[in-house]
Amino acid sequence: VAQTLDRYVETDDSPRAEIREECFFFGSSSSNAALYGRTHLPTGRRRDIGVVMVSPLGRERLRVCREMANLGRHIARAGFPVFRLDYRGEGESGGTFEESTIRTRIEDTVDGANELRGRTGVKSVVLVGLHLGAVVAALSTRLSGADRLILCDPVWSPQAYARQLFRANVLQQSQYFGEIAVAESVLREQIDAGESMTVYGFPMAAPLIRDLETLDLEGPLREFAWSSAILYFAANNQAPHREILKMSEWLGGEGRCAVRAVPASFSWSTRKLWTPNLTVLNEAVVSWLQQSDERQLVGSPRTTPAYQPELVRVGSGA
Amino acid sequence: MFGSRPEDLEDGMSFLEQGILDSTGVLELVGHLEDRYGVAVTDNELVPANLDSIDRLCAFLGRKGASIQ
Repeated sequence: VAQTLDRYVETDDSPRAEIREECFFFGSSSSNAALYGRTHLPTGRRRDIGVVMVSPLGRERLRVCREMANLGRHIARAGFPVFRLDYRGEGESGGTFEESTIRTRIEDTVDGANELRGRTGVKSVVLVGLHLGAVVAALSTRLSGADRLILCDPVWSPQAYARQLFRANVLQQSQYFGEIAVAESVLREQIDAGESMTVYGFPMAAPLIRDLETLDLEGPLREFAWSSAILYFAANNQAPHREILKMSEWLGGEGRCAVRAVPASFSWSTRKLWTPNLTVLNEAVVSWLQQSDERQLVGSPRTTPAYQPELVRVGSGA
Repeated sequence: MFGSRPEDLEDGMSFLEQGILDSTGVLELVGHLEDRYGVAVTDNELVPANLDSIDRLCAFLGRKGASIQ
């Protein structure tokens, strides 16, 4: 019982260093929406590396809302300035969720990185993304100028992820009404006709679905020439999934991309909305950041001096 | 996937009744089946009769033509 409680009841066991936290709105460079941001700032020794946290989508963001705060504080107590934001259409930020696409999330991430630089003067930016947020982080490196990347339990197939959104709608119909009134094929027709479908209360529209279904991860990951880490949950010491290894290879393989198991179990699709205590994930992130700071950056910009928007292939997002 | 030790899971044990899996978490299981065993699961097959124990999963995968031991 004690072990179970330890796993689920939040305990703040991060280092005791003091941090300062601020909340504010900041401007979006690509829309009229005001974005809501927060910083977790070390008050003692501050490193020159700042962290932008890239949250997952919709209901999954709610699932790890508290974990994102815990992780941000844990990182800040290790001396790294941290920036978190609500993406357009989520939380306190302006806009509607239906407008949210992979492209808008990339834009918001870039704005977040610039806001972090402006507020703290950090020289280097790390993007830390969870699940679909890891995909957004990976696609944002070039525009944001990030030179380190941490992918936490990344979605490795955006196409399969999109399929699961349809399935979630269908499953909910079955659970609430005892039948599937609107089949997946009909949902697709409705999406194509410009309607949205509700997935756990979040309206998903065609631009987001198309972004997911047409995403190419290999190109952007191969273009990222700096240090990265992929963290995956492995409660029973499982080896990394083959697709994780493939992503690692795209990121430069051993020496440039660390693949580390996080000894915890975690489900993104459970009905439970509370966040289990993911201290082990927090420690893994901080451990890699500290090692990354202590040694020089691995890698070098290959041929990527400037961002070329057409290289981020995200379908027909707005 | 479930966070429990594999040896604690009996073949006939209901995932839902035991709290191992909930009605939403079944999506994760289905994704795993498709990824690991190469089967395609249709909407109408997302029911406990197919997915709610190791025994039911084996029978379901067998009907879907997956190669299982």
